[in-house]
Amino acid sequence: MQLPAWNEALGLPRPWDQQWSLRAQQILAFETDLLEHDDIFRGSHVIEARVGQLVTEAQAEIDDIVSRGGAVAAVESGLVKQRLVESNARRLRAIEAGEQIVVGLNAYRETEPSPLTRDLSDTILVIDAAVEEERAAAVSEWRRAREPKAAATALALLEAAARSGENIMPSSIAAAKAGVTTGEWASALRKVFGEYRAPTGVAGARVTGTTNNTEEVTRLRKELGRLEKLIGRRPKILVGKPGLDGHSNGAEQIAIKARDVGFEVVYEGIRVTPEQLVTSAIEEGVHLIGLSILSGSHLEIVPEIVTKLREAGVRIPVVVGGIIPEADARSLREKGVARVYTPKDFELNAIMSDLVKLVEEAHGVS
Amino acid sequence: MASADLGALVERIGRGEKTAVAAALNLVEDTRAEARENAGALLGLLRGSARSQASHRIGITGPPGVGKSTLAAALARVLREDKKTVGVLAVDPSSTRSGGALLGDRARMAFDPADEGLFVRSVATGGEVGGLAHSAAAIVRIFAAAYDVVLIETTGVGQNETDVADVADTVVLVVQPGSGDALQFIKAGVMEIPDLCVVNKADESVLAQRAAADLSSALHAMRGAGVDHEVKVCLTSALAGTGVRELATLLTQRRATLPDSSLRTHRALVDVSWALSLFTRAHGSHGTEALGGTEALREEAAARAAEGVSALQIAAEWSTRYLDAARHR
Repeated sequence: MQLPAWNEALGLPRPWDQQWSLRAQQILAFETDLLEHDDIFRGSHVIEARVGQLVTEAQAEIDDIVSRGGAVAAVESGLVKQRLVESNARRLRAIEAGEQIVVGLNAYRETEPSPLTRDLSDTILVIDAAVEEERAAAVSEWRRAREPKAAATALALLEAAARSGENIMPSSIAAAKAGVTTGEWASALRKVFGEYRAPTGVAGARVTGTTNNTEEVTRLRKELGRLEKLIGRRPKILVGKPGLDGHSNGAEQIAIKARDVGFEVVYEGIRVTPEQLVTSAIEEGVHLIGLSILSGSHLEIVPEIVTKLREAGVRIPVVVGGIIPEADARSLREKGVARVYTPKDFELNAIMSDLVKLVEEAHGVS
Repeated sequence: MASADLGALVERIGRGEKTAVAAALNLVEDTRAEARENAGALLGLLRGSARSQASHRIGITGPPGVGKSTLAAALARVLREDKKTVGVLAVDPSSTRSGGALLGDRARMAFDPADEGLFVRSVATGGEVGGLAHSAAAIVRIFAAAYDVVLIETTGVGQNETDVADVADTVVLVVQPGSGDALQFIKAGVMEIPDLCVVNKADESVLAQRAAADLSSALHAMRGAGVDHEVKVCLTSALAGTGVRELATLLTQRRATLPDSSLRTHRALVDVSWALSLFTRAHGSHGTEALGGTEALREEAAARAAEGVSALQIAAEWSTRYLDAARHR
């Protein structure tokens, strides 16, 4: 049973929010006769036709993937991810063009003040910072208290098993029993296999369908050409997602859109550390950094990145996108972030225009 | 830029300082006139350093999707384990319509940001046919002055990889099993170029063995046609980490056996074609004809390069000569 809650987009639901979802399901289950019937849609020509269509289309996709060598091959080649990215690109273009309605976003935007966003300290679950310290101390204590030789031996055996290509389950279980931690287990395997980084699906993605506002795109491309002549190099941006957040849709779409208006985009992907982003910014010589965070940890991670950039002498604009309440956005801007974008900013052309201006300003040209 | 500043930059590059290397790369990509002058001077100063001469510039090419980025990352990891420093140049195609590019190779490589001995730079081809960015030769020069090994990873679609053969000492062609790549390459004439071939995504299957066998026999057949050294075929799985150490060993051995004189000649040739391509990109065939034709220019470039003048400077001198002559006509 799933308990998605109304404030899930902003942060962790509180017990009250989860209870609300639970009660809603219980009302359906016990106050209606829904569960006394098997399929209430059987015989509905509308539903049966739609389901039939879904089955046909799904089967065609499955057949295509099988013909390419199966699901694993399709994932590894990046095909699956690329299709997802392209599909989302089409959806966003349709929203931007007004062809697809999202109530509250591109239609019916007037709103009464929402209790959800009025005071965020109260409407989502806030984790006490002390919990992190507690857990870190607990891990240290665990390591201190275990039998050191047994743990070290188990790790060595795990590494050897991984190198030889054996099944690592037995040595992993043995390692767990010897008190090896998850981090140590992962590090040992990383030493042998390196760290897998999945295909991002962005490089090969083709955006088809609606090309809304081609005039604006053309204008932006000209702007970028002009900017390139002024600053000597094609404007280059870094887009990445710091922290453990895997919600990459926004970052991917920004990356593709930026490429389509003429930026060179270094797409760093997900699960990047602040240090990796700063190093990438230096090595790649980018003119602007875009950080995407939907995990709620923006107030911790973004200032850390801004500080590390300054310490490294990298003076370029930083923009942030994600699920960021206005109060937090203000705080980030005070700490040196140039712009904050949320899902309300669905007009990608406007964001691109902003980015061009920011690079122009940073170089003292306009 | 004052020569003292350039001198300081050169020193810092020689020490492998990332901010210095990055500043140099940004400089050579800068197309403005003053930057071009400084870039030419910088490249002139970087020539001939001991590390530069000892460096190994390795091109990794092959069709899209064979796993070049993952292989380059795995190779870099093995080289780092052997305490060699590595500069990686990842080349992605630019969009011809928008002029933009998605430089996504970096995201396929796992790297430790604290490792001062590994530097990854992504560049776009900028619409150049041949799969290599116009600034690539300059970037390779800078990396060679800072790091022991330079890896140049290009997309390439199988027909026009010749550019990478110009800037690299060793060219590695990567294919994957089952796609008929090997046979395509034989037909397209790309087979003359690689010094080493890799079948990536190779498992125990018949398909992988067959791809390797196809490549081997095609290479053997070409031996009479001017390929004077044996081109080995390696089997790797970059994801599983197999075969990569063997590849690294083969590469190290090859570098050790490359005679200094032939390496110098090859690298000098780079300056000649680079200067010529810089000049013709700006002034076309009218320019080359006005200055006496390509052959004459090649000879002149070879002589100037032997004196230690960088390709950028040579091309700049030609530009000035051409524009002055045009003015006085």
